[in-house]
Amino acid sequence: MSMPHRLIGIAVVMAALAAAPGPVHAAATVPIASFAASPRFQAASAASGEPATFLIDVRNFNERAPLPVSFELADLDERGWITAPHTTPYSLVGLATLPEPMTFGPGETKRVAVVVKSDGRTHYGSVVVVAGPPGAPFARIALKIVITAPDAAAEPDIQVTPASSGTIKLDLRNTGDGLLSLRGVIFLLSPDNRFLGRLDVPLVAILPHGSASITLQWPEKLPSGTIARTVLTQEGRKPFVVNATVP
Amino acid sequence: MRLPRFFAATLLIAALAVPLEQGEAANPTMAVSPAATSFAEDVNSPGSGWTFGTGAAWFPAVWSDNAAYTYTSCVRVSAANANGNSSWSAEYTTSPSTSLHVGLAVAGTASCGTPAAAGTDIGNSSFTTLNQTGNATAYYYVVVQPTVAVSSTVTISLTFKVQSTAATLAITMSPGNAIAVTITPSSAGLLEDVTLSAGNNSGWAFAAGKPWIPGTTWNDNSAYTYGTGAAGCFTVSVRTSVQNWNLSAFYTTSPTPSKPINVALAQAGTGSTCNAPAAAGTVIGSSPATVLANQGGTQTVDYYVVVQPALAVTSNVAVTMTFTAQ
Repeated sequence: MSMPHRLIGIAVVMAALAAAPGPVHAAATVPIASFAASPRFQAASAASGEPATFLIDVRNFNERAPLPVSFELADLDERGWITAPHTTPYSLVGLATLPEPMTFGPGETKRVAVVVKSDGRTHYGSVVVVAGPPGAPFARIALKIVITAPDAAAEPDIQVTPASSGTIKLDLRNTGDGLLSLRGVIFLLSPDNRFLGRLDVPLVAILPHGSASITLQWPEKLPSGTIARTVLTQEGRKPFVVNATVP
Repeated sequence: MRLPRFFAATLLIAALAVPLEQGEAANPTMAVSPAATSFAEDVNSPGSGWTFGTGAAWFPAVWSDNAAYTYTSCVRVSAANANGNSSWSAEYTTSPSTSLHVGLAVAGTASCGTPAAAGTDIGNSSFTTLNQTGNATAYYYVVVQPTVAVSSTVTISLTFKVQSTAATLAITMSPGNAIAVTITPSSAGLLEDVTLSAGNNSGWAFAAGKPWIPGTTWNDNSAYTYGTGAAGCFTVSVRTSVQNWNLSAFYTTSPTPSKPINVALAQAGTGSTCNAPAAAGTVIGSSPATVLANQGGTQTVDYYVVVQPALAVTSNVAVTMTFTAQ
């Protein structure tokens, strides 16, 4: 006796893009949802009561189907990852005006504006671009925006930890109200100051009162006593040097 | 015999007075305007002059169609004092060495227009002959197509040459700042069958022995892989130049079933590779779970979507997975 069947439908929708039916051949029947947003990061200064405008480009990469897009606001934690809105002291909630939901035509690109009214203090958060039908989006892209007072300054606090494995970890903190943008170079020196090599520190932006960690890898083991001399530059400021030694 | 001083001076004056033969006395010159320009490269940028696809008539035929840049205003190149039959040529170099294509599409001679014919693919450190000779002025679209998203600033030196003289356009290309997310396929329909019988399972599997079934948190009585084999994957592609990005996922159901549905993502490969996952999948819930962390640049990841209804559903249920790139 065969086992009774209970065939019940379940639809798994990985993206609810309302794709138009394509041609019959197989390659065209695979639905694709694709969109882009930029820039990932923007910062501006504004005096209290003044607005700052952040322009965002959004593109529907689907050349066949329209794409509904909406915008949400989220907070950022101290490391710059999104968290629930209105949960941090730097939240943009109440200050930012988001674009209304809109539908992009196939392949269409639009530039929209997010306006943030300054209250004279530092605020930051994420404008989350949500792609797909309301209630069933297929993807979100989190863009970060920062607004500071015109005189806000960053205060870097850097710790460099080189290890014999060749790993060099940079723990970066910004204790100021301004945005901290750093880039630099790590010079590796022998204990008697002979040059062994260098590693570039990529550009990193650290939120006001935020932190970040960067791990760089030297391709060889580092002998005990090797000096990691880290020279970091901040736009418009003198470079500063942090020395650390491989234990 | 020594020439009288007066005679020598007379010869010199006479020589200087002879009209110059065209093309032999004055050195040829070449000029490029502007001499330098810059743009933010972004093969994922939604705007700012980047175009995608081969729809433009001037797109060099030998290029792939996934990314292209048009230099938004013309580059004016002119040559003077050149031999009439001497061909122009051009080459480019990059610093640091970067994989990209450079093309030149003629946009006019008297003025800057729109290129009507396919551009010429220019050689990397190797001069390519252009369809232009002698004394002339030409306007070009410089088309740049990075083959990979750059993560640091690149200088492209585009050199035009006629005879032995040359002029260079320096293009500074900085990394872009966009993120693009692509889901393929973006929807699929699965016929759930928790009462599996041989020959009628349509891809449903009931064994917990599969390495990609999430650990101990799931029962082993019912599970589904989104298809099987090479066709079983769906692909999430994040195209970007930015570093240190994360991708997370969560899911919702509509309508809400009487019993929960377990959902997991098991990595089945990268790029165009789709194999049976070798490791336990990441359980996806109603709040975002990180599936990719600390990524840099473009990444394409293939997944099995593993769905395990706790109870047979009695009507269609839409399971929507949402990916967040940040």
